[in-house]
Order: sequence, then C-alpha cells, then structure tokens
Amino acid sequence: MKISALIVGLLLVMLPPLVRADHDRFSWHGFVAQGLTSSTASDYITTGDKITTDLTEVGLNATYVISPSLSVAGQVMYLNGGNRFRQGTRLDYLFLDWRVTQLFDWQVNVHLGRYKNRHWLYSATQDVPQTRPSILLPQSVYFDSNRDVALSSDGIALQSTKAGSNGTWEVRWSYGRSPLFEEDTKRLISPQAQGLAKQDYTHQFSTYWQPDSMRWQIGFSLLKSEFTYHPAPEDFLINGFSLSERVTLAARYDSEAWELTTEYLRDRLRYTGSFAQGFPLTVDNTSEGGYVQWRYFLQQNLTGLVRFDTYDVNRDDRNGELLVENPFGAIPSYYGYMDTLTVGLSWDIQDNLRLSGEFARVRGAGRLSAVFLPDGLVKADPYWNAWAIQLMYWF
Amino acid sequence: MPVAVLVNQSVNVDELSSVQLRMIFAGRTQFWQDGSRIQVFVLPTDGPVHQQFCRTLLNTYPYQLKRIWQRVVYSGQGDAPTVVDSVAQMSAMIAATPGAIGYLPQPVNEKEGILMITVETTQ
Repeated sequence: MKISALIVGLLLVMLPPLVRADHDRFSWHGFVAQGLTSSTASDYITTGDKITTDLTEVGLNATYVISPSLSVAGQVMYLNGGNRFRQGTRLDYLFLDWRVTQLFDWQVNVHLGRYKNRHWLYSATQDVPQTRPSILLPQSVYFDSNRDVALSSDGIALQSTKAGSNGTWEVRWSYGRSPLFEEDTKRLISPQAQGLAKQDYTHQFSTYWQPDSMRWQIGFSLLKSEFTYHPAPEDFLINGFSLSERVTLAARYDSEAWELTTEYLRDRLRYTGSFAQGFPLTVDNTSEGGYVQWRYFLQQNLTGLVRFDTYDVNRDDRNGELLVENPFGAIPSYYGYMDTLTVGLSWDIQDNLRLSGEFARVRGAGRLSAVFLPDGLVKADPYWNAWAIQLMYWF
Repeated sequence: MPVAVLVNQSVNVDELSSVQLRMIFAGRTQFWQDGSRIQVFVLPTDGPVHQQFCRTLLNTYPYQLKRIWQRVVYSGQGDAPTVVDSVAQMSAMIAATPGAIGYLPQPVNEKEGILMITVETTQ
C-alpha cells in the first residue's frame, strides 16, 4: 500500500513534464467509476441488506517507450468493492516489456516485474470497468476473494502472437508469486487464521486460437500454484501447505449483433496442515464450474446481457450433503454450490462514458466461504440477490 | 464504398496482407521494420468509412477492434489508434506524421507526403 501510494505520487509529479518532453514515447490513460450496489439476504457485497456506494474503481496507467524493443508500463488503482475484496490502493502492474521478436505477423514479448495474468478471457483487465461484460464477473472463474492472488504476480511472463492465413495463435506462459495481505490470508485459509499465507509460486500456461474469419476464439489455460502457511505465535493452525491445480477452457463467438462467451473451470485443491490441538487437517477437493454469457447489441450504444454461472465446491458432493458431517461443525449444504443468473444493460452515453446496471439471482453460497476451510462465515440465505449500477468514465 | 490504406511517405512499405494490417490496427505491431514507431489513425468508429474498413480490409467487426484496444491500453501493452474527426483531417495527419498509417474512402486525391499501399485480402 505504501509502495503503491508512493508510485501514484511519483507518477502524478512526473507525468506533466514527461508528457511535454516526449509525447511520442510517453502515453498515459485512466478510468474512474462509481456505483451503487447491494446484496440482499447475503453479505457478499453489503452487510444487512444495506445499499452502499462501495463500488469505486479508479486507475491510472502509463507507458514509456525506451527503444523499439523496450518499454516500461505501470498501473496503479484504488478499488472498493464492499465485502468482495480488500479495499485500497494496489500496484496492479509494473513491468519491463521486452519485444524479443517483432515481425509484421509474429510478435514475442517478455514481461519482467509485476506482470498481468493474461491467461483467462477477462483477467488482464478484470478491474477496468469498461472492459468487463458486467459489473460483477462470474464467480466460478473470477472469484472475488481470490482477486489479488489471481490477477498479477511478481516474476516473468512470455507472450507470443503469430498471425497467418490459418488464423492467429497466442501462447502465454508465466512464472511468479503474488504478495498476500493479512486479509487475503483470512479469505483463503479461514477468517480465524492469525498467521500469513505466502504463495511460493504460480506457474501458468495458456494458448488461444482465432481463425482468419475472426468469428471464433477458443483456448485453454493451466495453472499450478503452491502456498505455505506461516502461523502466528498464538494460532489455531500450526502449519500448512497447499497445492492448487486449475484447468480452464474458453470459447467465444462474435456475431454482427451478438457475442456468446463461455469458460469452464476445474480446480483441484490439496491442503495438509496441523491444528494446535494436535490433529491433522487434510483437504483434497476438486471444484468445478463455468458460465455461459450472451451479450446482444440492441443498438450501437446499448448492450443487453444474460448469463448463467454455476459452481460446485466439490464435484464429488455437488449438493453439499457432506458439509453437514464436517468434523469442525456442520455447514449448511447450500455452501457446497452457487448458481447465478444475471441480467444486465449497458448504455454508452459517449465514446468514453458508460452507464451499466445489472441484477443477479443466486442459489447457494459456495463462493462465499474461505477457499481452504469452508467455515461458511460469510452469511447468506439459500437464495439471495445482488444488484449494481455503475457510471464509468475512461480516458 | 472501397477504402484505400495510406501511409506517410517516410514508410518504406508498399504492400501488406490483411492479417498484417490487422496486427497493426489492433496495436500488436507497433514498429515498422526500420525501427520507427507506427502511428495509427482511424476515423470515428461509428462512421461508415471505419465500419467498411473493418469489415472489408481487417475482416473484423468494429466492436471486436474496440475490445482489443481496451485490452491493449489498460494492460500495459501499447496504445489505441488516434481517432480523427474527418477525411480531411485524416489526410492531413498522415501527411504530417512520420510513420503514420490510416485509410480514406476511394477515390483518394493525390496529396504530397502520402503514399497508397496495396492490401492483399484473403477473402
């Protein structure tokens, strides 16, 4: 947070002189979005059915071209999503972009530093409101509690784009680790955790293909990540180690008047640790989910959205019946799944000004519990609603 | 309405495939082969010339191109093209900007500093 604030300050001081000095090499952009939102019969966004303005997203980015093969790019942002993720300032990315190959039809880039996760359809710009199909993204794949671990990491990333008459191939690979805050640990492990979870590494690969007709895009991604739990002196967990392995499949079809998008996810999560009382904790769980989303361009500046998103915490217990037998206390079965139907509308008032609104009806609360220990402490009824409206401006 | 692709006279290219043109207008290819920066200009994205350019020469819908620009700009991968207001301004900007590329509706009046290039389409 302190580093991010420092970088924002530095950027604001440095921007005007740099822009004047070298407008060909330096460019900067940003966005501001504010909304009204609420979750009813659930504490997903707001507590106690309150309507809140906790839907703020502000970002500023800059790119400086050092030479034809080198650039440096960074983005800082302030996010407030209510209860969905940690509120505050973040250094979203700051990397050296090395253009290793730049032929007319083949580009290879290496990113060093805090790189963006470009492996899922919306992950590269998940926090940039006007680039999303909706205000709230499908939680099966774009799990809000996992946001800071999932979207950018410190390390190295490679991206290759090859275009030809057989279509466009993109191959992406990355290896790094994401810093975790105390609040992230509580969201990942358990709200009762006093220590800190540290990501040892996250290793990702993805590839996407588009035919020359440009109508289709299909692809898949793989992720492997390890975490170690470092307990506090007085803690209910005395150690812990986890391994996450994730596969996603993605497809999108673009028509003149509509767009159909789908992503499927399977995530195997293993956790081994020990409680302070001496007994072990072992989790080996494979979750599964995905969404189908249809956007219809009603007019050039008006887009409608319908989406069905489904997620099962344990594919061997899709109805959550085994949660009642949890040795640490019975958990209602509806914390074992989450199905969401969303309808939304977006109106482009100007080229860089949009008003979006949406409503979601949800069955279950499978994405409201901590990732490793399903305490089910985020309160929700078996059926609940969420809605949001947001005005977004970008430049 | 046929659309012609034009470059500033500093650009040492006289032919591009539609795939190569798409890589340039999508912000993926940012430098000419001699190392100079590509400066991309487009007409208003809801106008008929841009719509025609996207469909016939890039083989995309305009909204697909907009989606790519947003991703490029807000994930640190480059810049979106500069939008100019009119055909006259497009012509003036290409003539005045080294490394520029843009397009105009046919027939194009000859203007000093502007060269027309051939686009090999796969359709």
